[in-house]
Amino acid sequence: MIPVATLEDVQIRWLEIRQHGFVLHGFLLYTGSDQYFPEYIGGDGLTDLDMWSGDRCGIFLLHDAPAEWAEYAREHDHIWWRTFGAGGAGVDDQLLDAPVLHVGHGETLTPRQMLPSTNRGLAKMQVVAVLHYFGLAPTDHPCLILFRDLGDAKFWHIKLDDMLGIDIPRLRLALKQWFAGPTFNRLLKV
Amino acid sequence: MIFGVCESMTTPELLSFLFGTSFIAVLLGIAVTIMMRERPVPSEAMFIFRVVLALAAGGVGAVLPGLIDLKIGSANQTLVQAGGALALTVLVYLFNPPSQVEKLKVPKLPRPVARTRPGASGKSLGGRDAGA
Repeated sequence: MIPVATLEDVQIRWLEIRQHGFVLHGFLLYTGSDQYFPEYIGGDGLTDLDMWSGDRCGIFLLHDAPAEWAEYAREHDHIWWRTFGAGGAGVDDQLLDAPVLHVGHGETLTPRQMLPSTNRGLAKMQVVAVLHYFGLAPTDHPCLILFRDLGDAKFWHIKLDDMLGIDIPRLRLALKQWFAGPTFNRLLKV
Repeated sequence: MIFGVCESMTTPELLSFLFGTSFIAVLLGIAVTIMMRERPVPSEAMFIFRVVLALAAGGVGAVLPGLIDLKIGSANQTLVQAGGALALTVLVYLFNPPSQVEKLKVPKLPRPVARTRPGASGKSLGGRDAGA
């Protein structure tokens, strides 16, 4: 799993990403209102999917990388850390999460808490940009797009509409079963 | 033995029993068909199953021996009060068996659909041929 902010982030660093030797690449696309994808990914989903997709498949997510993820990626020398994390993220996460303002009764605020939250409309436009790149309609989310190379004409589209609104444990199980199943293994074979 | 029981029934009892058992049989058939197709059941169908199953339970409950008395509400305000077959209908409707099953079901991801990106040159951006 490789959390990114925009499609351009992937395009700019594509040569670097390609050198990692993934057999299969992909985009897991969802918006903030596609229940319960953001909730799951924001929790254990990122590390779950990273574990299940293995080291032969790199899937990009348009999701803010949490501080915990950065720590995990650094420890595992993850491709995300090498490509986007170390020096690539702009501001160090440790600085963003350091308590800088005391607001009485021992409570503190971090710069991250004081920064305006990511604009949800703009985040949705990034999802639309990826869908547009693959010639899909702006309504074709949530979905999983898989491809060998970003420049390839051929890609695989997996609609995830049936996963909308199901609770997090069942969403997790459905994704786990898919990554453990024959369809994913077939796609991994070159 | 069944025929003996049926002979001792009054006509309304026999009709309600036949109604209940036939609808349960039909619902069982539909459920098996749906499970074999592995397709999600539309919510409209789930509501129809719920209502028909509740009525069928009432139909079968009409001939079952024993007493059942149902009271729903607070200590000083009763919202629903029913007995016998009607109580069974209300119980099954409120328990909502189709939604209980739906809660346990883990949906499967659909098959990947191979598509072509419009305006693609077909050349690898990585300078390496991409396997298909």
